[in-house]
Amino acid sequence: MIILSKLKRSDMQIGFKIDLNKCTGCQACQLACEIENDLGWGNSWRIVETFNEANVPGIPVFYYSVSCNHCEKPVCLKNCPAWAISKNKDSGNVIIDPEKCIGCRYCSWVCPYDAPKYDTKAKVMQKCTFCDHRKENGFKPACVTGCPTGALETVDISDFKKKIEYPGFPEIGIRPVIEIKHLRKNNVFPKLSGEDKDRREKYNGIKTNNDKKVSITQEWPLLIFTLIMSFLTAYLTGSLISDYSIHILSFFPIAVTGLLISTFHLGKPERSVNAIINIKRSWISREILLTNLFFTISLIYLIFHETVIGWTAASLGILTLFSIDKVYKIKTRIAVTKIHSASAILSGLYLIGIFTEQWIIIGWFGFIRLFLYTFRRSFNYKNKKKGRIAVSAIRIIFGFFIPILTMQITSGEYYWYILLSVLVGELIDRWEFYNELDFLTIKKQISGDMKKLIGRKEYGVSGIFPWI
Amino acid sequence: MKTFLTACPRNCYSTCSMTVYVDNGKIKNIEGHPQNKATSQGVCLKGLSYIERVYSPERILCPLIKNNKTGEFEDISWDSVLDIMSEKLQYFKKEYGPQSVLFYSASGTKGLLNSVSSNFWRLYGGYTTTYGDLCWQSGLEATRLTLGENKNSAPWDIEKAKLIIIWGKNPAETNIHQMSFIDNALENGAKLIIIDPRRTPSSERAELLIQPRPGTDGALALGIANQLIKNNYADREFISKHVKGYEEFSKNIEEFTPDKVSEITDIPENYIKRLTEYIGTIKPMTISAGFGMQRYTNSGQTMRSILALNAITGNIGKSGSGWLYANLQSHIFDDIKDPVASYPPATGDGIIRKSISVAKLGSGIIEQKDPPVKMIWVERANPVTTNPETPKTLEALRSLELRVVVDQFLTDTAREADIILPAKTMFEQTDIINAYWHTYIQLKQKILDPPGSVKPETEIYHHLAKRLGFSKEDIDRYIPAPSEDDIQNYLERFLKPFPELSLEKLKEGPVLSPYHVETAWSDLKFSTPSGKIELLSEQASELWETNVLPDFKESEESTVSNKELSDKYPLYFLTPNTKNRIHSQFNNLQMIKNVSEKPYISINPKDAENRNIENGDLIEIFNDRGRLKINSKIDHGIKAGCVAVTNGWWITENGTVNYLSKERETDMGYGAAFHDNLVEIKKI
Repeated sequence: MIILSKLKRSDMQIGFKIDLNKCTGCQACQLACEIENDLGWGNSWRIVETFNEANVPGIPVFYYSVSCNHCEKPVCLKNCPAWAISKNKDSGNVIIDPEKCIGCRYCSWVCPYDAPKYDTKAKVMQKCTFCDHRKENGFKPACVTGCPTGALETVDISDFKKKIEYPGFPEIGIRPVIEIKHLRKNNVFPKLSGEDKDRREKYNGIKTNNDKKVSITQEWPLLIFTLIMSFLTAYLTGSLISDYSIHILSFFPIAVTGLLISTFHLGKPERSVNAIINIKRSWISREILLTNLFFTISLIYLIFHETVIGWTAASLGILTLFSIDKVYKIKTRIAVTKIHSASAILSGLYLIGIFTEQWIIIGWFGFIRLFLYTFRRSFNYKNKKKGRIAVSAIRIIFGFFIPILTMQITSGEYYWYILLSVLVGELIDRWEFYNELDFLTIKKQISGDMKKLIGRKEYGVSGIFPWI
Repeated sequence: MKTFLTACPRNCYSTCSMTVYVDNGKIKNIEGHPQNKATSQGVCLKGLSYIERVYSPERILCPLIKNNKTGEFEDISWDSVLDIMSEKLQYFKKEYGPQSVLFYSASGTKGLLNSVSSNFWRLYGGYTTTYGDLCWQSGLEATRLTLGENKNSAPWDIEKAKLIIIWGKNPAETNIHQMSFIDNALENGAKLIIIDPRRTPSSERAELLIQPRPGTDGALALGIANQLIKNNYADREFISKHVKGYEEFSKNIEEFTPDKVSEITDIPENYIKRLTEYIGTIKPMTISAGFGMQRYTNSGQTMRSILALNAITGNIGKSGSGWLYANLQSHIFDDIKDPVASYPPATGDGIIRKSISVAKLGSGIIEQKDPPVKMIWVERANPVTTNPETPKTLEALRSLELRVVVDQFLTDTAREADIILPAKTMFEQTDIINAYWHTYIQLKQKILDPPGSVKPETEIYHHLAKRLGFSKEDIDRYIPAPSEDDIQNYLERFLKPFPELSLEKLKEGPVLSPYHVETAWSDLKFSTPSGKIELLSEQASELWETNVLPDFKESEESTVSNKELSDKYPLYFLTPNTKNRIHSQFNNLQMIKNVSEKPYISINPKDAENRNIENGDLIEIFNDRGRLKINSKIDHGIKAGCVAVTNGWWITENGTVNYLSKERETDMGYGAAFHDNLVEIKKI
């Protein structure tokens, strides 16, 4: 399915223009960017994507040279917790300020074009600046100057009022400032004298699952942090319901550890305090602010044991969990269902049940989560996404069966074992959730469309590529 | 930041003009230069990668000598290495005669200063060298026989064509700037047809991709000619005025009926008919022929057959029509032009012995007698990787007493050397270069001082000449001293006959050759013996013992001509060029490795299925000559029965395709027929 990008612009802005007819995938633009911006070999801000690499007959081979599209409503800007991204009023260029960036990488999660790249040396995010520095001398961006065929150009997009359809560009209202010249109707793909229709579907080489954007090896601090937040929220709320007492020393070391660990995944942990600047728009900022409020109010509660303060703290905890879930719901890229078993809030509610030994809470949320988990996993197995059945079985047994059965049979003496068992289950659920996060990319969208073409009996791209 | 104008001296159609940005003596950026109308936009990724190549930590920066005990290279001073070499050169000359020294150079770097090498060896008293060329000989000779000389319309003239046939060429990867002109023609409604066994980036916007069995392009051309004549598409008026041998030709190809040609070429009849229809009805037509298909044992005749299509449809001499193969109009500094310049002379001069065929370098060295070859000096070349039959080349090199290699990097050939001398890069000495697609004469300016103790070749020869006691007059005249002034004076001598050219002028930008033509043959005067386009060429038969007319013979190593062999090795092994390298240059750079890490073999799904091969499997490619282990890539675009690995991978990268090719000459022009190459593959 092609999602249309409706581009309506009013202000004057210069953008990139790609002519798909002229681009031969030579990658000179990619290298020109590396050289101009001194990025080190292999770290270009511009990437040339090839479509139909296996040369499947009846389908065009073409190339996209992609970097930042300097969107009219940049999703990276909106979501940056440190407000390190800005859009220049005069040029329209979207710029990351390396002095402000905290290196949380979230902009690369939300940008559907994968424009922001992590600079492993500077430990901040970097991306195409439309070669702002060259403009002073009247030069075009280096990639444009470096294009040997004229496929990559700059274009004034200010009077662009008509609706345009770009394959692979999702309609999410961010308005990329780019013009793509589609393949000419007469020159879409060659007819091969030696083609073999029978083997079109087999060995088509089109991969629809993209590279992992989020890997657990890099993002484990977030996983631990989320788990700690669910745990502490439930621990505190549970004490209000079941009236067990919490010693300040059994709460705060965990809270501090959680906060510390959460900064581990930042390129610039020393700037972590900046993460709350964009409270107005960024769910990360809200999450971090709420977390800190939750801890502070909890501290006051644990000192003064005032019930009202306790419930205030609990509510802040629940709100934090809600904001955590919001961070992972990225409508520009990740197709996360509204409700899923690894959700921080559901995890927190289930844990409240465990802490309070309230069967009604355990029953309800245990059942809902078991159902959601089974549904999600079986869906993903069907779609051949990563994951092992044995691991899923462990998650279910440790997360639900062992604790519930133990709780039934015994009377409190194995309490810590039960909690540990639940946490193992939570850890796996969350772990799998990270691994399954499915990022939408241009490559993936177009490859998906191409797969549909392969399945057809007759050649022709009409209907699937409406622009041809 | 200072800017300099220069030009890329690689063996490449585009031969781009470049703007180089230098800051504090260091190259900061490289861009195209708009004054060269043929390459007015950016340079390719290889051109950009010079920025790494010049400063690569792997570059050889001082003379090296192999320690015979450890096999390792050790640094040596210029004084010592020059002493050793002059002593050795005197010894070989005295003991065996000067022709025991083989001077081998190839297309690594263009430039007029390359002539200093042969000047030196001539003054040394003589030497042995090679004849023919790895690259383009049979096509050059076929064009010379048919049209009289290798002259093409300007590169931008193709924009005016209404039918473009790219025959055995992949400009998107080897001549990227031609793609702009082709796209402009398509934008104006031209039709594009590609003839190639592979689906390449160049074929993507074409209407038809005709995929003949390798080595049968000639039969296809004759089949089309047959149909053009049968359907009255021949341009009778043009033929009667300007073509010699039409009647004989049309009679001779009567047997090439569509059904027969379809059987030979493995192209369905309807495609042959459609192709005929296009060529017969759409004018003007330009055929741009590449180098790949003229590396078969029948390729001279193949190229003559394709040229016949231009001749009988009158597609010569008019704008938008024509034959693009090699445009030698900028080769103004040589007395004799290629291909004749690279043939062995009819009578030797007793000094230069052109006796070893480039196509058979290995066995040529081994079999050379009276005197035998004892020493080789390799310059601008990497024959171990790029010449046919790597095992034989290695055997030959290892049989010698002394091997001297001049290079920038430790190539496969350099590794075999006893002495390695560091080579300059294109930025480190001024020179003048020509081209073979456009006709610009360009200045390759000195921008940097050579790093380390690197000395340009001319300087090495200068020092050696002094040590060997050449006369001062000879040295002054033939071997310029190292200073920039001396180099420029030497170059000025070449420019003297051409009032429109001077170093000053070339410093301002590329200059079109005085022989540049916008539309080739617009005067319809052909420098053939008959003054006409010669379909019938007596010279062809006298020089090469072929039919006087273009005809078709199966290539030596084909699935039809050699059944016994093809039962064992049923697959055609294609070794095309890639955008990422010029033969064996550039792939050692990280910038290039990042876009092209490892060699792979392209296999049609049908061939893969028959051998239980999946995408990514490790494959052994083998024949009687050698074997290679490379990962597979399933490619629906390559013709079934063909497999392909791009050429130029080093032995150290496990991809040297010439382990499998054979030393063999083409039917004319002393070219190398290394695409006559059958193999089998299996999963390991």
